[in-house]
Amino acid sequence: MHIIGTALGVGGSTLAEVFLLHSARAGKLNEQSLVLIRGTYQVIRVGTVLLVLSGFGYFLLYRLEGDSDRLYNERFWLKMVLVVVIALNSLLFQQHKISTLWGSAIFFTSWYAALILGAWRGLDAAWWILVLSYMVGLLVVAGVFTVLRKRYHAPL
Amino acid sequence: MTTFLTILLVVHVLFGVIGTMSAYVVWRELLRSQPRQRWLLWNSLSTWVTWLGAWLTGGYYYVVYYGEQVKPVIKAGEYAWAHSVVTEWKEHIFLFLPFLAFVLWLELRSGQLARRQSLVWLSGITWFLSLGVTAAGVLISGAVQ
Repeated sequence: MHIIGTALGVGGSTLAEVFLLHSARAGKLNEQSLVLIRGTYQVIRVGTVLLVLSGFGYFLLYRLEGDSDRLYNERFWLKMVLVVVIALNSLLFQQHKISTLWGSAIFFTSWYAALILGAWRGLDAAWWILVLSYMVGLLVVAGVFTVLRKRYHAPL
Repeated sequence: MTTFLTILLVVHVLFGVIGTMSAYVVWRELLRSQPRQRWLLWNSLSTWVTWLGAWLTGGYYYVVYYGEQVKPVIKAGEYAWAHSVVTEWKEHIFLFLPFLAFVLWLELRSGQLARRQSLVWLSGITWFLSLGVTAAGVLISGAVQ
C-alpha cells in the first residue's frame, strides 16, 4: 500500500507537470487539459492518503516489533516532514499564494525526495545533509522548470 | 502486551491519523472561495469523532499499560525526556483538541459561515497542534528501546 501510494504521488506529480507544459506548448489551458490536470491531482490525493495511512502502519510495526530505534531515524523523520511540506504547498497553491513554478517544483522535489528516501535503504546521512540535499534538489528542479516554461511560454 | 492492548494502540494511532487528515481537509476547505458544506460537515464530524476515539483508547492504554510498563522503560533509557516533556505535552494538548474539533463541527453544522475567518484560524491551529501531537507520539514510541 505504501509503494502504491508513493507510485501514485510521484507519478501524479510528474504527469501534472507534463500536462501543464503540454497545455502551455499548445498555447491554451482548455477544458480538456483542466479535466486531465484535476484528475491527476485527485490521483495524487489518493496516493497521499494511502501513503500516510500505510506509513503509520510501518510506525506501528516498528513499535510493536521492538524496532523503535528506527523511529528516531533521520530518513523517517524527513519523510514525515516532506508530507507536511506537500500538504502546506498544496494549500498555498490552492490559495494562489505561491507561483505555479515554485509550487510545482516543491511538489515534484518533495515527492521524488520521499521516493528516494524510501528506496535508498542504506542511506545513512545526518539530518542537515539530507535537508541540504533537498534544498539543492529543489533549486535544480526550479531551474529546469524555469527553462522549460520559458521555452514553452508557460506561466511562471 | 496483550492482543487487546495491541489493538487498542493500533486503533489509537489510526484514529489520530485519520482525525489529523480530516482536520487538514476542514482547514483547506474553509480557505476555498466557495467551501463545500457537506464535505466540511463530514470532515469536521470525522475529526472530532476519531479524536474522541483516540482520546478514549489512548487514555485506557495509558492507565492500564503505559503508566506501569512503558513509562519506566523510557525514563530509565537514553530518552527519558521523551516522557518527562513530550508525553506530558501530548497529554495536555490532547485534553482540549477533541473539544476544539467539536466546537468546529458545531459551528459548521449551522451551515452559516459568518465567522469564517475565525473558523479558518481555529481549524488551522487545530491541525498544527494535531501535527505536534502526532510527532510527539512517534517520539514517545521511539524512546521505548
